[in-house]
Amino acid sequence: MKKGTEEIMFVFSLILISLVLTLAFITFSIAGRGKVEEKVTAISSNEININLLNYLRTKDENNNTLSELIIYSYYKNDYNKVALMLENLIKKVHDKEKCSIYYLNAVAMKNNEKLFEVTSLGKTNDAQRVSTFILIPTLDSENNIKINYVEGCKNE
Amino acid sequence: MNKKGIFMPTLALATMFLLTYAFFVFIIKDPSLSYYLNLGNNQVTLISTFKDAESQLFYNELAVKYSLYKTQEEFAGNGGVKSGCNTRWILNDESCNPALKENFEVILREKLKEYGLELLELKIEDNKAKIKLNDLTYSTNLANFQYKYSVKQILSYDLAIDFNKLDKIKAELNDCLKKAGKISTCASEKYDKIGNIIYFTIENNKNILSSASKDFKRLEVKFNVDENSLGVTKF
Repeated sequence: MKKGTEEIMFVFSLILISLVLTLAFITFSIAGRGKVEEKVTAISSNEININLLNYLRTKDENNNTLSELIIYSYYKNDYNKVALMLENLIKKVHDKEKCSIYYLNAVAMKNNEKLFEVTSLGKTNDAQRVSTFILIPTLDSENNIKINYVEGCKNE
Repeated sequence: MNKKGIFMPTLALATMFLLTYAFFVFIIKDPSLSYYLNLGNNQVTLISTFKDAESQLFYNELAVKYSLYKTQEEFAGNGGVKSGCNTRWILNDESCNPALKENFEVILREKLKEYGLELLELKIEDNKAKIKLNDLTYSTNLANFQYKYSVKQILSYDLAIDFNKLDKIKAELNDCLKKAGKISTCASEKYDKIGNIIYFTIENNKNILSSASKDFKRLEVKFNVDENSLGVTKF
């Protein structure tokens, strides 16, 4: 083989190796990413579930928990007080640096009626949003109220 | 071709072959061999279990509270005796005997059942109800990971019915029956008397969310006794 051809082959091989290694790196990264994120989401979902439980267990000045207040508001069909309390509470304890948005709504499950919602302005992409829900019983054992909660947080 | 010239193309082809083979083995042929797939699966299962248990416990706590509200309302409406007794206490009678805690337990058991809960034990002490439900149990039996997680459900709530006072009146009426004395000389609680019927109204200083009015209200236990036939006449 001529010397010129050898050098061209050498350079071409180097380029080929770099390309193959890059492609392999990208392929293996993408194949694994889905699984890793699944775990991270599951753990985050548990964290915000605890946040939501803490919100709902918080007591007002009359020693009623917010969950009880939601039920009472449901029967009175007036959600102003409870929505304001929830909003103030979430604003107070919400990690604004890490989680720029939150969204909470309550739905009566018997007739799928949306009761109220509390939300913040902010932007995150879908992959950064984690959601959970909690059921609250009412005096009617066949009707529960579902509290949906979403947080949009930056992945660490 | 000399050795120096052939080395790099061979290395490139070998690398390409090895990586393609690895991709085929780890990603396409058997994804379970993927390192990422097994990372933290067991921990996530365990964490999800804690989450489910906490949510269920939260639900049950409220379900018990509302069952207690409904039970107290019905119990107070019945005057502490069974519903067919028309709030009349008849001591020693099989059906209208004011067996307060037993009657309360029967109603509570029924109300809890509506929420899919089973009462294991009820204690009423100092106007507080201590309720024991079945443990919440979660388990898994994966090939490399087994666990059993149980959460005890023992809940305690203040009652809006003054059981201490009701027990005291019952004891006084029993004394009256034994001594064949007049209620006016035995009962220390305030009462109203119309003819031979003596009416008691016992209230506690606590509110409950009423299932009838859907508002908070104070409960009153109203019952009456016939002064002439406090208990069942036995011949």
